[in-house]
Amino acid sequence: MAAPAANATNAPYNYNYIFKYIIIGDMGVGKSCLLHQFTEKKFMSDCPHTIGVEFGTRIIEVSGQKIKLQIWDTAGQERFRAVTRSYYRGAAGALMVYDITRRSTYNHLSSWLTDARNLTNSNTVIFLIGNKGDLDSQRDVTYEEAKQFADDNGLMFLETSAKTGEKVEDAFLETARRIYQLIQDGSLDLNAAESGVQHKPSHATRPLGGPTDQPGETKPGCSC
Amino acid sequence: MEAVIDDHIDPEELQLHSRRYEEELSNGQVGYNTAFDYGWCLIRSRKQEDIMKGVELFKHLYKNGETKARRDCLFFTAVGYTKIREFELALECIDTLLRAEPQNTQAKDLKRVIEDRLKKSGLMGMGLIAFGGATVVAAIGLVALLTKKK
Repeated sequence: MAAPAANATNAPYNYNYIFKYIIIGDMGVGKSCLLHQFTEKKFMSDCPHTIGVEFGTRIIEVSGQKIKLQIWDTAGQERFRAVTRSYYRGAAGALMVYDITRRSTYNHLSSWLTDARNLTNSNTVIFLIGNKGDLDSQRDVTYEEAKQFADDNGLMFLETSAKTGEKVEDAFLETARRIYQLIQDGSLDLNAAESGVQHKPSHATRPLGGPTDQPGETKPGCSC
Repeated sequence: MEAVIDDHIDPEELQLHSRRYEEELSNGQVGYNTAFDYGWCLIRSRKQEDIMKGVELFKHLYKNGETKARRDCLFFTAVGYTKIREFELALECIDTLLRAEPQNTQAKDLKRVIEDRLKKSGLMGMGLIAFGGATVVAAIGLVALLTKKK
């Protein structure tokens, strides 16, 4: 029997928008752990270096709208950098991560930021994350310094801990709120292929993970 | 993981890496990174022959490249084999990787996908055999019926 259409909008796997995110930053800053904490609410200890890219999704709610986040977590190893750049295109949000206990990872931010700016569009929301906040005794970068860097470059900023989960949700959700705000303002063009946002009509009933639900097959602007 | 396997590269991007690779090849020395990047791009192509080329490249890099990058080569070879539906070979690669890194979640996820697809292709194969069998039986029945009538 067919499911009643009226109930479909309330189904837990229904969503109105898809936002594409990328997570970038040096090797070992905790990018995959942040993704895992956000999608699984668990901390992965002993996480091996990511091979190429990882992918995760989660549906969140912003201003009563269900939004499916499609998150590409890129390998931080320099060796992968040339190809991981191809995943930046069409990202609505970029989480740029450093490790508060390793200054070198902070010093490399300008290079990551250059990539993010050059390879995404002008409306892409870039969120700076200082991870490993639970290791405050080993801190190598002060909050104030990073906040200043974020302000100077017009980035949003939070310190998080993928281990305890502190502020992890906030970083992902605040990015989505800002993107949604850009949509409301009209500054983000939903029809542009590079916007990183797809609007799904609210009566859409296609379940999450369905065969036509792969990101490669649902490119923005391809539906018409 | 399915998204990673089914993701496709922009042909222009592949072209770019292909040109760099060919250029270095004609100069007699291909840099490891050039070969690695090109291999990854080939694996992400939509074309079967590109994927096969990528698999061969990673097999070569596994044997002749950096030891610390062997895990990456195994992983991408497994992804390539999965895409061209050589599931048994894909499992071999991913099992080798899992023996070295039993807790690697990416490898575990990929193995699950391979096993799923292998099972599905097996079921489909069985379906085809069953369908084929039924057709033969029906044909025999029909022939028998016709001969009887005669």
